[in-house]
Parts: sequence; structure tokens; C-alpha cells
Amino acid sequence: MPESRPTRSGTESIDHRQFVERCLASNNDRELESAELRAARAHVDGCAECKEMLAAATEMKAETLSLGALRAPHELRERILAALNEVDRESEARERRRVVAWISVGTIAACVVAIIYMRLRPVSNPTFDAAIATFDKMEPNFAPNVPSNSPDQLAAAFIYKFGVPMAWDFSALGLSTVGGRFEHDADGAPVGYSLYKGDRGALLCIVYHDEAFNFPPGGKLVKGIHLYRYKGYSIAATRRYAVFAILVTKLPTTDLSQVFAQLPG
Amino acid sequence: MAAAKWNKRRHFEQEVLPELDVLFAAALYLARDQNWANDLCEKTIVRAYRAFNHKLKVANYRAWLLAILLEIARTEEIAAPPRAAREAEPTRLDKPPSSVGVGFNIEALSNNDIGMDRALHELPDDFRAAVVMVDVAELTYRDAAKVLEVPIETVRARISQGRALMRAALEQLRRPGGLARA
Repeated sequence: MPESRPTRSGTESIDHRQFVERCLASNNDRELESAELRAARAHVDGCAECKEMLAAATEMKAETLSLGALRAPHELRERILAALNEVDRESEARERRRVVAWISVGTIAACVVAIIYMRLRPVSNPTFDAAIATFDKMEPNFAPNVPSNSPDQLAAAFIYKFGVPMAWDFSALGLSTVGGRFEHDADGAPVGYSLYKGDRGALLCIVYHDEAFNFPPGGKLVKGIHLYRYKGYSIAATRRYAVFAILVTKLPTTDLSQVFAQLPG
Repeated sequence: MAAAKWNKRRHFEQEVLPELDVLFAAALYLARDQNWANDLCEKTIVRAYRAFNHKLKVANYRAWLLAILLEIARTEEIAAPPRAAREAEPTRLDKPPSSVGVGFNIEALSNNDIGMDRALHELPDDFRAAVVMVDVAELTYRDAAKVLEVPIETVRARISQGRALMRAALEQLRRPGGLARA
């Protein structure tokens, strides 16, 4: 084994083996700095001991390289290919599970959306539709036929006709009483109308006898009055004894709620 | 999706799997046990395959595989044969282990190879690892340093020292009766 020896200049200690190793390394380590390599080669060229060491080391290296000529056993290749097949199967199964999971999530999401839509979608209500149609028809050309210039007068008229005061004070919403109108339907049953109007819009109240009306779910109940948002209109409905009143307006439901909340319990 | 899977396998077999022979040689000389070397190779290839994808940027698949192999060997040491057993009965290529497959071309090894094998086996672990990476697997010193996780100067020093030790061992083995004694 080479020992560290002084250089010819005698100024520093070097290891001959390092020069030999650098020459050998030049094949493996292409990034070895050329100056370093040139110095190593220059030393080896001028050093008989290093030349001999380099020859022996080169032979040694070549012999070592021959050990790398082994071939992997056939059974190992078979094992590895089988293992890769297993990985592929796992990946495919995982991918299938992922797709199934996404489909499931998508299906559930679609169901949730459908349920929400069904819950939010206004269920068609013939009574509400008829009330809206009446509002749209009567509001522009409402012609009162009973003395009803104030809520009190209107209430008195309804008490006289239906037995209950189906009239409210909507002045808080900027609506004043336009008047009341009594008619009879095709069966001869009385129907009362009252219109409230202001700068913000109008509100029509329709009163008639109806003991069978089922208040649909989903509304808000304020002091015995059911409030709904339906097809862009606010609907308020209430029944006292057999007298049913339905109010239609384009004002927000919250406005009606505020008015009804002030009613005595 | 099926095409992507097929491409992955095809690319892996074309670009990475050809390194199996070198990987096996390195595993055998590092592990000094045929069965453990086989296990290491299989786990290494499987782990590499799992990580292999079209986005993977690997400059040298051989170095990559060897780094994985060393990582597995380090972390799964418990699964390896007891160290004492490996020291006492190293893999001897002049007597193929029973588990060696038909592809193991033992016939190609000359007496010189057998002597080299023994000389390599007798090296301390760190020196042997450096020699295996550079002289058996033919990595550059830079790649060997990355794989072994040591400075490049350490690789050079270990290889230099390792070769010197091997040379001394070979001289002893190649004396008349040396191989038989060993």
C-alpha cells in the first residue's frame, strides 16, 4: 500500500495513491476538473511507482467491472414481472374505485341538488295562481263599490258582509286604502276585495268562504297569518272561522311580516 | 386510461428494467445473500414502478434504482439475514446458492472472478459499497456520492482504500492453494 511521501519540491505531503485514483477516476468522473486531472497525469507520468500502481489498479478495476456482468436470475425476473402485474392490477382497481367514488359523489350531489331544487321550487298552487291572476287583473282598474276610505271603514264593511274584520292597516308600508268591493261568484257566494296602494306598489286582499283550504308547508306563520313567496309575489293567507282571506302583493314578504307582527296576539 | 397504463409499463420495461442485471449484481455484493438480494431487487423495482410516471425526471435510472435499493436495505435491515450469519457464510459464487436461477451465469465466472468476488466480499461495508457503486455498477463518482449520501471525496477515498484492500486480498488468494483455502 503506498505511503504518503514528500514531493520532489519537498514542500507538501502527497499521497501517490490519490494521483493514481484521479487518473482512474477520469473515466468515471467526467466532471473531474481538467487541471486536477492534468496535474495527476503529469505526476504519474514522471513517477515510476505511480505508473506501476496505475497499471495494477487499472487491471484491478477491469477485473472488478467483470463482476458486474452477472445476469439477474430468471426466477427473479419472473417474480418481478408478476409483482409489476400485481401493481398494475392494484392501480386499475384503485382507479376503478376512484371512478366509482366520483360517480357516487356525483350521484349524491345530483340527488342533493334535485332535492334542494324540489324543496325550493314553488309547488303550483291553484288558489295562489288564481289570487295572482285576480291581482293582476283588478289592480290597475280597481273600482270600489262599498264605502271604505279607511281601514276602519273597510273592516266594518267586511264585518257586515262576512262577520270578521278582514282589513289591515298597511300605512307602515306606505300603502293607503283604495277601497273595498263586494261581488258574488258563479255559485252566488259572496267575494270581497280590498285594495291598498302606494308609491311602492299595491296589495289586493280577496275574502270568501272556504273551510277546506290547506295551507301549504314552507311558509312563515306570523300571528295566525301564513306568509309565502310564490312566483315573484308575496302571498299572505289566513282563515277566521270559515272566512278565508288571501292577500297578494309584489312587496317583499318581510314587509308583510313586519306589519302582521304588530297585530295583537 | 388503459393506454396510459400500458405506456407506463412499456416505458418502464424499456427504460428502467434493463438495469435489473446491474441492480442484481450490486444487491448481491452489498447484501452478500442471494435470497435477500432477490428480495431487495424485487422491492426496489416495485417501489420504482409505483413512483414511475411521465412527469418523473430521472437523469440516471441506474443511480435512481441503487439509491432506492440502499434506502430499502437501510430501512428493512430487520428483514435481512442476521449480520453474523452473513459474515460467517458469505455468498460464494463458486458454489451457486440453491435459489440461483438459470439466468445466473455462474459458468461465466473465471477463477479470477471468483477471487475478485471473495476479495470484494471481504471488504468492510462502506468500502464495498463504494467499490460496488463505481466499479460494478459503473456510476460516476458524483452519482455514487449521491447514492451513498457521502461527499464525493469520501467516495474517492473509500474506493482507493477498497481497491488497495482487494488487491492485498487477491494476492493472498491467488497464491498456490489460496482459493482452495478460502
